[in-house]
Amino acid sequence: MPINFNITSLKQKISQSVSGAVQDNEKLKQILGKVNQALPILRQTFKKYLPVIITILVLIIGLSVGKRIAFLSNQTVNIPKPASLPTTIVKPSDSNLTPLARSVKQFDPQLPDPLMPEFNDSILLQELED
Amino acid sequence: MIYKFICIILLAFIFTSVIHATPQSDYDYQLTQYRKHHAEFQVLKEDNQKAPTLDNQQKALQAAKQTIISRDTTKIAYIELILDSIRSQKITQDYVLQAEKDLVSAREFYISQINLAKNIISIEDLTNFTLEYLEAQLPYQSQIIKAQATRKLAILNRLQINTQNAYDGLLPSISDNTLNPVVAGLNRINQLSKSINETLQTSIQMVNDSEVSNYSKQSFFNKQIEKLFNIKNFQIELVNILVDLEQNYAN
Repeated sequence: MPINFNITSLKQKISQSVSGAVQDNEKLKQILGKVNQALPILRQTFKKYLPVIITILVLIIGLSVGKRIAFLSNQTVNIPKPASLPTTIVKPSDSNLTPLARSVKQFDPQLPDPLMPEFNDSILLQELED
Repeated sequence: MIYKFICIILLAFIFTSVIHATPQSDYDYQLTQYRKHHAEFQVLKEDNQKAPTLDNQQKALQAAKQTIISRDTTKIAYIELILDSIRSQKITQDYVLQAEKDLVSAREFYISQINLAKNIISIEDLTNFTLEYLEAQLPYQSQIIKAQATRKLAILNRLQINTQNAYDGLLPSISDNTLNPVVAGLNRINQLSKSINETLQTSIQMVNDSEVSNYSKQSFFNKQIEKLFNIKNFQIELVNILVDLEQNYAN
């Protein structure tokens, strides 16, 4: 079967695709133009708010690190109890008055306060006459 | 640049709020600083005595000045520490309020001495400052010595109030007040409470009436220690009776 070339329709198709490509190109140029226009504004906005973003990030990191330090400093050591340890025996130490009894026993009547050292109140560079 | 600075300030604020300084930690730090400055002063004073050049003299004078400032800063930190301890007992009796007032005035005195010490520029200034200081600080020194005893008495006073509250809470829960051990226990509690209150009053009176100097403080402390030990022993016995009543006779 012979191939029937329709030159006119082929030309039309080519010109359509060419004009389409030209339109696409123009659209792309328009978009690029808009992007180019928006770029300085974006850059300015970014420049303006970047320190704020950094501050927020630093705050978040600082708070989480701070909380972690607080947690570590307040952490109590949980000593696991042996499974065989009986827990139902009531001892005198289980009384509601145990904290009071402990406070009374812990009271240290010693004076002077061991925290207060003897200070040198006679700071001199020349000997005093009697 | 400004934002970096703000960030550093914020970070410092966060960390300082987390790692909070207490009167105890502040006092420990100041005491370490004082000991360091005092040791330096001793060395420089000796150097100046061996070779009294102008340079050595200036170095020793600066070290003396720094030691004085550090010493009184440490005393202020100690006052803050003892004040915090007394206030934490939440006792509103006159002897405690008086001790708080005395400690505040002692703190003001040492602040004023730090400001005066900053003006020392010669050996004569240092001598005059120290001579005046030794005399002027006597009443404040006495107040600090007495406040140490007051602090102990305030702790015992608080323990006595807590014991009284425990007794008041326990009494209604005792099912039979006519049982012999219960009657004996309650009678003994009454006797001990009376002895504790009397001894506390004697000690408070002793603190109020005493004029304590650095030389007489040991005798003052010895008398106080004896009373404090007695009160402690009475309180231990009292609380033991309360524990016995709670465990054996309360519902």
